[in-house]
Amino acid sequence: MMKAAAGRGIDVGRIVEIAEAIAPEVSVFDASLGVDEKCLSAEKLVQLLHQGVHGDDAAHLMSCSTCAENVRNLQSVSLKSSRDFVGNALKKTASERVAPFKEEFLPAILAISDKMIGVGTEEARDSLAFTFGLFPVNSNLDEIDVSSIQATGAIVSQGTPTVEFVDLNEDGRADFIRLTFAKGHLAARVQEAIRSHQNVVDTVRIDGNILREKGKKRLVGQARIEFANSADLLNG
Amino acid sequence: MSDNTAAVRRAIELCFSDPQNESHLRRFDDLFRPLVMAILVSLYRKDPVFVEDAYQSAFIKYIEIFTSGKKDGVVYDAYFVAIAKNSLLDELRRNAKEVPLDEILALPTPTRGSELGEQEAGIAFFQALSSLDRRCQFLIESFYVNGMSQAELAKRLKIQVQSVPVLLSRCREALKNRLKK
Repeated sequence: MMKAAAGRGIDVGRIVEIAEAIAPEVSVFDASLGVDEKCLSAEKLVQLLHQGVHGDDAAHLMSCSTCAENVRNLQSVSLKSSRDFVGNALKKTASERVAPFKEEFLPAILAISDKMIGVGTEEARDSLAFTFGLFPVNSNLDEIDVSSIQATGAIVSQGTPTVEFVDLNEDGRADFIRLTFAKGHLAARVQEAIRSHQNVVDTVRIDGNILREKGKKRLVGQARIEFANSADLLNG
Repeated sequence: MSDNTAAVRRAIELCFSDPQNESHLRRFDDLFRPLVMAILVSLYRKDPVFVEDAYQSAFIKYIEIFTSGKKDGVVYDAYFVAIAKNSLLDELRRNAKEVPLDEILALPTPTRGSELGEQEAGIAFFQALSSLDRRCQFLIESFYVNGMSQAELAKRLKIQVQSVPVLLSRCREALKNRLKK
C-alpha cells in the first residue's frame, strides 16, 4: 500500500491561531457554492443527490449553469469512503478510490420546479401532464435513449416524453434534459389521498436506457414530491 | 445552523475526546465527507479525480489536529474545509497542474510574514476567502484556481467582460484587507 500524500508537516498551533482570527460567520456548509448567494450550498447539493429537488431550489438549478455543473461534478465522486479509509488514515497510508456508483447504473437528479403539485380528482386518474428536469452524471446526453424514459412510483407515465436539451450557458453542451410527459396518472395510493383531500408526500422514480456499445446501463433518478387536491389549493 | 452542521460539530468534539478511536473518526468521515466533497468539486471544476486524493491527505491532517488537542474559539468545520481546499491545491501542484492561485499566494501580505510556511499561508488564505461575499469567492476561485477566462466569468456573472478585471481587483483588495486583520 502506498503512503498517502500528506505533504510536509504543518504548524498546527500557528494555523489554529489563524483559524481563530478569521473564522467565517456563516456555516461553511450552508454557504452558497455558486456565483452568488442564491446558489445552492454544500448541504443542499448533498441533500438533492439523495432526495431529488423541488420548489425554488429546483427552479434555480434549472436556470443556473454553475449549480448544474456542481451537481454533475458531485455525482462523479463517491460520497462514502472505503471501508478501510479511516484505518489507513491512522497509519498515514492511502486508500483505493471508491467508484461513486455501481457500474450498471447512471444516476440522475430529478428536479421539479413546483414545491407542491396540485391535482384534480379526475386528472389524477389518467390525464396528468407533468414536466421534470433531469441532471444525469457527467456523461454524453446523446447516449440516453430518451424514448425508453418512464416515470414510476407516485406518478406513472404513459407513452414517450417530449425531450428538450437545455444549454444554460450556451457553450454548445446541454446542462440538463427537460422531459414532458403529456399523459400519466397518479399511483392508486396517491389518488386515494387526493380523493380524501389529504396532502401526501411520495417518491417519483425515473428510469431509462443508456445506449452504449459495451454493456448495458440504466439511468435512474428519484425525487420526493408533495401532492395535494387542486380544489383544496384553490380554496386556500 | 443546519442539523448536519450541528452533527458534524458533535462528531468533531468526539474525535478530540479520543483521537485514535476509529468509530469516532468513521462517524466524522461519514458526516463530513459528502459536504466537503461538494465544496471541493465546486472549487476545482475541471477534474473531480483530484478531489478524492485531496480529501485523503486532509483527513490525515485532521487526525494530527485531533491529537494535538482542541483550542477554544476555533470553528473547526470551517477550518477543516480550508485545510481540504489547500490539500486540493497541493494535489494539483503534485500532478503538475498549473494553479494560477500561486500568483496570489506569492503576493506579500502582512499575514504572510516570513514566520508563515506555505501550508499555513494557504490555509489562512482559504479561511479569509470564505469570509468574502460569494461573488468575490467565485471570481477568485474560478479565475485563479480553474483558470476560467474573463469572457466565461462575465457570462456566468452576467456582467460586461471589461468589468471582470475591475471586480477581480476589488476582490483581491478585500481579501488582502481580510488577511491583515
